[in-house]
Amino acid sequence: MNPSDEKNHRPKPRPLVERADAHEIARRQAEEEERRGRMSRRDFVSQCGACLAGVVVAAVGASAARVIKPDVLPEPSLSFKVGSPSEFTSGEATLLPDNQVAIFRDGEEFWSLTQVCTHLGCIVAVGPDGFHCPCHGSHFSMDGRVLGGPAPRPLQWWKLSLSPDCQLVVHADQEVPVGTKFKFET
Amino acid sequence: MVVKPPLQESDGKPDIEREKPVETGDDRGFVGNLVQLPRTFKESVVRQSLPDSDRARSQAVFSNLWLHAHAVRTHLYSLRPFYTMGLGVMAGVLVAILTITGLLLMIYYQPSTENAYRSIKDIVYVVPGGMFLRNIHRWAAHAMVIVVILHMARVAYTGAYKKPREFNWVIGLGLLVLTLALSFTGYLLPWDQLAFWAITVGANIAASPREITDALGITSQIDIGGLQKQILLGAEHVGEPALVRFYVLHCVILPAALFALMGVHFWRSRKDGGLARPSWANRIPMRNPFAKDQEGQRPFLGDSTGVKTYGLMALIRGRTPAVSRAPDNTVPSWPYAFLAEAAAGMVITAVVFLLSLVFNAPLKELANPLIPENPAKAPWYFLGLQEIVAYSAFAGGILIPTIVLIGLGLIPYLDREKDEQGIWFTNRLGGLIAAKSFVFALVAAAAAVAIPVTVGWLRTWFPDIPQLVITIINPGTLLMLVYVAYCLLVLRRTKSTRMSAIALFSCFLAGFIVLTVVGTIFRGPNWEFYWSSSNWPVH
Repeated sequence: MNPSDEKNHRPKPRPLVERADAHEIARRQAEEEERRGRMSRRDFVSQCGACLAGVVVAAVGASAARVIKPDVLPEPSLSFKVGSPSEFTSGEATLLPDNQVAIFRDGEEFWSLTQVCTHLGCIVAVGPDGFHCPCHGSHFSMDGRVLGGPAPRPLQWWKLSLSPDCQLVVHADQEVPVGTKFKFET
Repeated sequence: MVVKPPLQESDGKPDIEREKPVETGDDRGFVGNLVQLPRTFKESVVRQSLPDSDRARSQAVFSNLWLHAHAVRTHLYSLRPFYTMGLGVMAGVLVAILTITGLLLMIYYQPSTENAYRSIKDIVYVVPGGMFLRNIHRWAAHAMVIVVILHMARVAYTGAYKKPREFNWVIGLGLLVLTLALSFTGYLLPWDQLAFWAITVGANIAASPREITDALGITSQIDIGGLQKQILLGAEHVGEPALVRFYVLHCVILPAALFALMGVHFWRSRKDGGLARPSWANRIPMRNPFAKDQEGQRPFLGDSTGVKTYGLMALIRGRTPAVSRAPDNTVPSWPYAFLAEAAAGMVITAVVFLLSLVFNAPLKELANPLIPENPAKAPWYFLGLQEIVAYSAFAGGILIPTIVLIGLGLIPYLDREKDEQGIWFTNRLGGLIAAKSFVFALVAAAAAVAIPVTVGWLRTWFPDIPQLVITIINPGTLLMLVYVAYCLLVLRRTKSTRMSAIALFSCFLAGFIVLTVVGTIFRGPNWEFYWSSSNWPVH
């Protein structure tokens, strides 16, 4: 195509004065609307668009953020066998560092306490006067009550049960009230 | 120089058909061009020759991507060594050092619980220069914590956070938080004992809102703490997912955030007219410390010399030397500002390199999830935090740090007095208040540590006291309240928000120092107080 032809067919721009008037009229209309306390149609549409964009961005962001929390956590089983009840000495605490629990036996009564400090998760060490946490100095009695330091609550007591093959099972995900002891025939 | 054709209205022809201006003189035929290649290539890269006039230097700064973060001219006041002490530049240089050494370390480091510790051992003992590399990364990180805090102190005490730089102060706080977060995620990666127990403690601090939700009995419905912990660890316990998450944070997410915020930080200070300075620095003519005239005198800058040498590009609205209205106390950034920056950068680089030659970065035993170290101590800059965490996990780990950050962030919005900026402590009274409040805060913090050490705390006297009471009333929160009260007292006495801001910052600094020193030096096994580590029990 001849470039000069295209130039001739281009619509002529409206005169500047006319355009200015149109702009002026739109502006006055908007002012009038505003004076009446109404939003102009143009503002309404553009604000709807902004809201929509905001919603879309928020939705995408939320779905992306959801990725960082998996539905299944890679945890080892929190119920584990610790041996036959008869293996535990009565009147003594048996520490099972691999499982981070202490097993207590008093005759036929068994109970187990976590060894994980309730303050910030360090492993407590046993002493003559109870459990001591090396990280921030929490001090627990032998039955897990807080004697001092920053620990917010007692060491957890876990549910115990007996497996079909007569092994003691600690359920380190089922907390029982402090002082709950379980009776098993040995 | 190539002369571009003037912009033309399109005449309908495609660009390619348009006539190119004939260039003569530079085209010497194939052989000639080949001979000239080194010169022409160099000129295509660096378009100017070394500038020989102030105007050319301005042009060089202005037209270079890397240099144009600077204004073409720098105010003499900004170059006073004891005004800024180059701390901001040092922080930037440390980031560069950390980035380079970090990238080199990444070549060998493997983020798996199986191999992380071994790969660090490889870096230290097998990789040529690896031990030095790791030392540099380590000491540069430590130096950065110090330098960033000192830089913040400089800005606070010289009032450089005032309008229009309020938000840049907030961004600076963000950079402080990122610096600490990078340090934290960094020392986890070797997967040694320090790493393992630091993640454990950190993750449980994230879970510590349970202290509150437990007390209210709503943990089973809204477990904010548990959610935070899960997001951080990708599991309930510290393991492989946690290590990978911290690796990604340390090597990608946090550095990216740091670079972005640094960019904004620099950009804003540049747009706000460079460093803050008092108004008289623009009124009183200053002598040029870099030049001498024939009589051996330092000549005045600007008007009195009768020569103005900057180009139009120096004239940015509102914040530049006012032409023919006031003395122009600026010097070309090239070379004066660049030399000053290079000096600061070289000092900090030398310090870091020397430290790295003398002291090796520690590496503890392989992580053992069964036994924490006793005492289990974080690096020194977190021991202040560890000290208050030892009163209450939630108060010390989340509540107090959040309030401190908000309090510091509010300084420029609450102190809007139109004091002169860029003057240390603003005036004599300011200096006095800074010193007094510093001493007061030292004593108060020492008392806050001494009381629980000597006579115990609430639980000693009331064993069954609810945890919520201890979370709210403990030496950490009380110390913070005492500081706030002190600053309000200063405000009432002096009727000046600026003086109160100085007092607040002194309290923050002194509290940080005391708690850090106590945590570092005076805490032993089971986090008990010992005057010296030689008194620690043997076990």
